[in-house]
Amino acid sequence: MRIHRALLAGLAAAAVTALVATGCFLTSAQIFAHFDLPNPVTVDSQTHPFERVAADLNQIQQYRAQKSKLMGLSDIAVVGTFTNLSGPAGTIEVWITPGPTNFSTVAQVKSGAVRLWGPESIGAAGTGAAVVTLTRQNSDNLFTAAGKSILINQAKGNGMFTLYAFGTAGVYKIRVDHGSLVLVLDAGE
Amino acid sequence: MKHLAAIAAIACAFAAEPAHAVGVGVGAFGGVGIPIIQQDTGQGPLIGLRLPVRLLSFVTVEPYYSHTTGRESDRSFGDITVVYDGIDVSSYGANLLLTFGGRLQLYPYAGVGSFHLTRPSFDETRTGYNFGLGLGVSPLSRLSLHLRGELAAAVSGGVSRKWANLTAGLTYHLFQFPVR
Repeated sequence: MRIHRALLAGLAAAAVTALVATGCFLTSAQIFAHFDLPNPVTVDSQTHPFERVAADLNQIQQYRAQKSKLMGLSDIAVVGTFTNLSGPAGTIEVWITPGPTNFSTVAQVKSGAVRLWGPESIGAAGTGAAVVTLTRQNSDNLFTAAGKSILINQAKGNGMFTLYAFGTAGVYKIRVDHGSLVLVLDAGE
Repeated sequence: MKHLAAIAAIACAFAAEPAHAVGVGVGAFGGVGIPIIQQDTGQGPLIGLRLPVRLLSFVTVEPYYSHTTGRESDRSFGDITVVYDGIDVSSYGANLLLTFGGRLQLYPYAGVGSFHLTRPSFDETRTGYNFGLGLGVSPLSRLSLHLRGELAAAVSGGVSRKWANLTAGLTYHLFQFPVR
């Protein structure tokens, strides 16, 4: 009977150890959050060659709630609908800088920022391929390791970064509807 | 009152059955794996195999293999719906069971294993821990039915993905000593 009790106590101790090792039940979680881009956004090579978005994840309630326990990002995706309004086929890219920046040309963005996502192909205006709907699944492989690393570090830090979105064809006019950066926060103790 | 008396008599008969000291069995189980505070995967069916090895009348070590097929999970906001592919979990390891009773057993258990988590563009192997409570009923000498509820946690760094697993299974006892 003593052995029985000792084993039971050992099992309980193992369970408690496992609980501690895995992070507490209630505070270790994967939480969905999204940072919405202005809707709609139109980038025009002639008048507005890129869209700059000063992102502050602290605006997201789920992020604020988990920030002190944030261990990383379990999943990242860019979603939305991209429509080529005029111009030839090309691609779309999103670049990132840690913290706030305010570049004024695409050349400055490319020299001072890091490509976060893309290129994603978009067809010539007026064709069936001129509208690209991005889901999590087809957005997933378009992230770069370097850009993702900046995003994760900023998410774990002050939550602030700057995004730049633009087309790569010489002439483009692309509208982004319901664009959003969707995240799964990895929270623990 | 008669019903209560009958139930009590059956329970006593089961509980009074002497437990075998040692034995080896093989079992299969199925159920459901329910994600706990994971907003990017859905619950899914779970199947698996067990190989319980009773070392003492109240101690069983049980190597196991299980597989959970996670279903998709949708998250909607505004006009956008984001669909997450479910996470499949293949795990193998061993549990330690402390069994009480004879033909009717209530047993706590805990275990450790290797958890392989996959979905498109996500592939990780983590150390995992199980702990739970089982109820075993043995209507025949070589066959037992097991109902279990457990928490399974796959750990990486300071965070874990957790599931509540509810299973029902049958175990066939290949040999046991002393022979009944």
